[in-house]
Amino acid sequence: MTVLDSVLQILVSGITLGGMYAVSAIGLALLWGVMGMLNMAHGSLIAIGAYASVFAVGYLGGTWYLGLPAAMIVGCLAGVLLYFATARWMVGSGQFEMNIIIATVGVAIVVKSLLIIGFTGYPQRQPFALEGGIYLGNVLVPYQTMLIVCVAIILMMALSWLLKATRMGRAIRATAQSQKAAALMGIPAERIYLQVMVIAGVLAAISGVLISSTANTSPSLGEVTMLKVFIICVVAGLGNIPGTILISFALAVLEAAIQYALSAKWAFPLLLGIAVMILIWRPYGLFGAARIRKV
Amino acid sequence: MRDDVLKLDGLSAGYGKVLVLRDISFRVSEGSVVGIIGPNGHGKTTLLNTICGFVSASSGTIELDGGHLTGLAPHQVAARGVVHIPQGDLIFPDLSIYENLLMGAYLEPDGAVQARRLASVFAMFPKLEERQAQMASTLSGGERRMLGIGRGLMRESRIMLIDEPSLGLAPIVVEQIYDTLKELKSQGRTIVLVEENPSRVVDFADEIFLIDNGEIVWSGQASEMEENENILETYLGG
Repeated sequence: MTVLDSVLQILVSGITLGGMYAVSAIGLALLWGVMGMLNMAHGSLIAIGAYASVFAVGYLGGTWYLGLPAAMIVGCLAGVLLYFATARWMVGSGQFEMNIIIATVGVAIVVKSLLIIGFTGYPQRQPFALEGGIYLGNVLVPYQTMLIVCVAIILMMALSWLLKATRMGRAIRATAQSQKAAALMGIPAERIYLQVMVIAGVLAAISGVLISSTANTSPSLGEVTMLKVFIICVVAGLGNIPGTILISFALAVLEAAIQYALSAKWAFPLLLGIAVMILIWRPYGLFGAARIRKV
Repeated sequence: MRDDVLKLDGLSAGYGKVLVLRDISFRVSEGSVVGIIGPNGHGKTTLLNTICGFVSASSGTIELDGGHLTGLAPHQVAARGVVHIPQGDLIFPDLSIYENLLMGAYLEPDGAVQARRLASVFAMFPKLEERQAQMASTLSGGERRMLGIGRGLMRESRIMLIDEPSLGLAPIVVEQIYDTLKELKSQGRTIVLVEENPSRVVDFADEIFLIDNGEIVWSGQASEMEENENILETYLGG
């Protein structure tokens, strides 16, 4: 293999990982940016999405690509449920940021247990997957990789359109910037929060399908992913969506490079080390504005 | 006699156990301008925030066109037709000027109505039209104030509550802002204006209420105030 092949190999796997991370990280960033909510159940939403696809295709016998809409519907419902189970009763209280962390940790434990009861703890194959691929020089680019990148790009474009060009999106951005000013415009914060939870739920569920399609589906799928996604959000600066997307791809390519040059087991510790160094240099993240929140 | 748009009756409000407003009662009739003056930190802004639902009333009532506002959330008060242009403008810094104005019309989803309002705001503030694609955070203090007022004009209102429009601005800009407010008055809008600087209000308001220590200590016509120098000296240091 030439150097060019190696670089290509790293880029292909890095961009695939980056697409999956970005889809997942945006939801987390959006919740923090708009509501100041650190959703510890984000991993649960990821796992729920993966299992929704497994259930729709593997258990109910749908065609493979129906896994994605199934995950979107279940992710949407999960977002609504999570809102009414937690944030709905806590928003506006002085201790919201701490309370919501505790509440969503509880939700994550319950969801994981329910998934083990419903689907056993054994890993299952994600049916939303394509076989085969094409060769770019000596490097195999699997069709699944292309599918993941396409889904990620479409989702990011859709979200960008939603936030920039629709009345709902503008209201979400306005609420994120000043909830008080948004209320003066007649925007009900509760409705915005519910909408953001639904968006985060759908994105997390889709990312669950994508991520499990490159490994497999297990009840702890979301936990590992959430940790990485959380690191991405913190390095980018919590709540900054364009920064989050950029860092998703940057850290994913770095992760792929470390995996290629050293081995997979080094990827996470080195990534964590780099994140810590960045945070020592810029405690509020690369794209975040300095702001202090009491928790 | 003109109908009352806003009616406050025995209103007391504050933060936690600290009462900032005590037993405030007044009426604002259709098309009139009421000025609220008083020293800094004596409850003027709290009064507007209580009307808007950000601060809850501990006793007394607030009525708009005979319907209760007391106990409503801020977005519900806004939906009843109260436009509040707050101190410090509270614009959305990372939205463009155009988007800020559109947010003002959030409760008015009809595109044709929005376009008509936008045109009239741009006619009033040509600078906002020139810079409509810029982020609001790039505006100067005076331009932000214009954006705050323009945003407030983007929807139908029964009453406009304007908090210290001259605060922190250069005299020439204050002049421009007051020219705009006079134009709004001539359109027959009902306005409650809070100002620390009484000379501005005397020229502009039909009726003036002086708030000191959270209570209305004097009220009357603007001309009466000028005649009564004691008031100015006692409460506002001349």
